[in-house]
Amino acid sequence: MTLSESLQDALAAIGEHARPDGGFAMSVKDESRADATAWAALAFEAAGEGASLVGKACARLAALQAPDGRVPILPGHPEACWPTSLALLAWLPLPEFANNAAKAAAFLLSFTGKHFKRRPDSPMAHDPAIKGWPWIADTHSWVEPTSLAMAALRAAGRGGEPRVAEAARMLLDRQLPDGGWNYGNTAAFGTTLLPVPESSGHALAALAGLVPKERVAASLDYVRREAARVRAPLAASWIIMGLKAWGEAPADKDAMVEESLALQSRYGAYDPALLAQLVTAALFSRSPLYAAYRGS
Amino acid sequence: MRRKHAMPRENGFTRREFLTAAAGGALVAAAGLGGYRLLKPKYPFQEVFIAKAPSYGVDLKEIMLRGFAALGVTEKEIRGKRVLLKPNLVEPHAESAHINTHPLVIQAAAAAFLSLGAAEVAVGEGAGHRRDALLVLEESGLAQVLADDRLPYFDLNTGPVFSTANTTNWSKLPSLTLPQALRRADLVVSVAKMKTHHWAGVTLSMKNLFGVMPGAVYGWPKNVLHWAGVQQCILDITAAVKPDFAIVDGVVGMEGDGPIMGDPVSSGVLVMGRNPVAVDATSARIMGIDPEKIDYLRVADGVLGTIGHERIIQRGEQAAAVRKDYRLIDFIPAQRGIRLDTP
Repeated sequence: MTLSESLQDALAAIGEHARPDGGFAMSVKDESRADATAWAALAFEAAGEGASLVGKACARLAALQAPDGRVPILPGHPEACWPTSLALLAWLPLPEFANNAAKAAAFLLSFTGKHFKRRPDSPMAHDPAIKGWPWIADTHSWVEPTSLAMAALRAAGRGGEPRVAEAARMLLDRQLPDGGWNYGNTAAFGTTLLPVPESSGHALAALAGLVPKERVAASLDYVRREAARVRAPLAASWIIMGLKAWGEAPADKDAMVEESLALQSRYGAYDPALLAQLVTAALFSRSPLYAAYRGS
Repeated sequence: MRRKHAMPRENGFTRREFLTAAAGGALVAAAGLGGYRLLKPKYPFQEVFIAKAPSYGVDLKEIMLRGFAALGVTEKEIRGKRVLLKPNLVEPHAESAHINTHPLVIQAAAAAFLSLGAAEVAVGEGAGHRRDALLVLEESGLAQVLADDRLPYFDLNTGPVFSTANTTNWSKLPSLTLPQALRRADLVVSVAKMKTHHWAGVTLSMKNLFGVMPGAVYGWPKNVLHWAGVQQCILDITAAVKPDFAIVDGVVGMEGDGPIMGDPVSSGVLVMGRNPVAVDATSARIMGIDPEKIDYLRVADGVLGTIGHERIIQRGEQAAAVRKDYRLIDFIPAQRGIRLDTP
């Protein structure tokens, strides 16, 4: 498949952020970081290019992996282990990292957020007892890390685990009444909160194939509406991936990606994680993420 | 105990040095907000400037320059400095401008600092509820200001970080991880929105500093801070970041169920000062809220700043003259019993 010039440029820009340790940094002056590294690998894997870069990136992720299987955002921050899901997804296509992937999957299955029984006088509307995954250890579970963990486990063939089923219930519980998701609160002190497209796209993608479409119909409507106006890279990427996971796509998906990339003239160069998510969204059907959402 | 003086010191720690020091003068801290309170030492008098600003269409830059003059801020102090403005963009929604620091306030602050000779003014934010930093800029309206005025922007959620020991220990957090963008700046300015808050009572220049903490390490929302104690973390973060100035956008604030779902309220004021504690206390009074009844302000009094009106030198308007009682919601515990008595 021939990539468009802008996708080629995006991949080249991602490549410029490769560090001597094999990882990828958020800016060319910085040290590598697990999220940028994993996303870079995923983008190159979707494009079917950069095998050497992918191998080094996965090796860097393996070097960052703790004995219990978690992959922290940075050394010295074991509690910030949300990149574990991304690392697992990046490793899966490469057999030489099968052990790392297995350890990461085992960690995810053993790890959850702080959960508790809902008090009758709680100001929050969602059920805090339903487990998903947190961003950071010893905090509550939230929509995006839960969505990514579900994707990673499904891609690893662990989609039938009870934790994944419970996480699907969690996402449904955090769905806003009129559709969409935010970071993971539905209402506070009796007031319904507002959705945002980036979280909605994550949750929709995670639930694809796990729940009937009617359970997320309003959320699909919300994301379709957002597709008409949103071009910021993170949200645009997940609008596309959320819809595509359900067998839809914005009619102008490729134009969305092109327009988002073109916004760099306004915002400045995107970091590699943003570029990689746009590339992944553009090439979604070739990404390990797609296999997760559509295949299991 | 380390004291912050009302006037900037000619010598002593620069911002960069303060943030790098491993144990730069640990402040005596109460053992949690419910612990015993030491006899409060007298904190130096603090100046706070209040200006009427009936709308965002007035000359906000001129107001801020008047404010700086009233506060004794000179060109000599600002010339050549790199300034970082930290607005409140916690969760922008295009149809709800009253959630966030208005972009024209940021624009005016940048212009004011540049006219005083700042070498650079940049903007930095780590939005608490939204990961798409660029969509945050678009929906808040700040993207256009940044583009028009060519102001650099730092996403504090995802940039490089450093860790420093939590030396004040109101919370149990052993350390604080902060963005490197703070070290890059010579002056950090908390540019907050005047709002009620359903956990903290109010969100002003000190609570605004939650947005300095990188989401990559603290989450979205920054749930690490909630579990460690919102009030406690406000204090620790303020002590660590030590903003040089605080500006509160009260042109249109938020009342009721802040910080997101409340209603707009036209207070028609800008509040400015060097000491965020004094600025927050003054802002609270303008909102008709007693700073003595806001936990973090009460604890900060005498330690990080001063809240007593007798120790705040009011420049410009008087707080009582511009007071507009923000609606409080009785079933929200943090908003119960905090009304400022009417004299």
